[in-house]
Amino acid sequence: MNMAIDEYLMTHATDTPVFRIYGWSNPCVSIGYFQSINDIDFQKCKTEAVGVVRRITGGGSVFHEKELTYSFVSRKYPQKILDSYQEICQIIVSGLGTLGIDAKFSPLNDITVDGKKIGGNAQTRKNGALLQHGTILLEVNKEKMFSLLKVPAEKISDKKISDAKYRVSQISKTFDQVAESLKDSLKLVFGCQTLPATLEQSELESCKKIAKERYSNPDWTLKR
Amino acid sequence: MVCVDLVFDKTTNTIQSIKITGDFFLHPEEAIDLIESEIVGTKLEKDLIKKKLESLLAGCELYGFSIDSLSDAIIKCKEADSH
Repeated sequence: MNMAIDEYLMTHATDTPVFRIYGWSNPCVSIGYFQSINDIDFQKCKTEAVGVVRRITGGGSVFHEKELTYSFVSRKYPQKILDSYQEICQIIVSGLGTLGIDAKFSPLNDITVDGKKIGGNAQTRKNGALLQHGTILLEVNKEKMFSLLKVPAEKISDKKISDAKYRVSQISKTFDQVAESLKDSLKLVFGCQTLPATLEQSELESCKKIAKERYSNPDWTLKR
Repeated sequence: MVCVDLVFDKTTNTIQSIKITGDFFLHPEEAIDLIESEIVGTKLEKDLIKKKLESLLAGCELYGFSIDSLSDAIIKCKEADSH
């Protein structure tokens, strides 16, 4: 449903940008638009009741569990991909900064703290609207994460897997703390007002339809 | 990283089917479907593949691979098959 809501927000984007903050009721692995389903341990995900969803954005697979996830939708954005990542990630960098966390934007699409990745981002653009979704890891079970996300064959060696584990980290803050910091950061970065919003029932119905037709559809999930 | 799954006709040295997967970014995303369908029938020669990809990817933005590296990867599939 989360991916369906993000898609709905993008396809119904207005001149008012939307920043959505959300979490996951159940653990889930999301895979990039171009990835093969074989890039993750699909069977293990099923066995461990971890959902699998294919995104409409590119990039790599992500294990969503204890994290804060966000999406940003706008019709006004820098046309250059790198510039747009940088601008939108500034919301995260600035927000975490107010919590005393020295986060950095690490091109193309990562957020790092002390050189370790604590969040990633992925973008798509359709019909004049941009969607960027991203994550901030609050608590990460690296063993579980790397047992579900396969390391590419060329990288399989104990050292490489260890390196990948080493490069991932988390921030020791609560979901609410980070959410509040991001709301404040939006005002700082864009000099704008923020208004809380919820989806109306009819919009939720549309999202459910998208979820059913695309994100719960094996033809989509297993398309590569 | 880009992975190429290639089926080719050894007699005519042409691409029969191809699947390009990986954790890269390509805008617009649907361009990948166009590549996978339109490159079928192309001779497995790097210059020809590169030219075809340049034409199919005109106006697209790529991150995580280049046209040159993808052309190389396709040719390497052929070479790997012949070993």
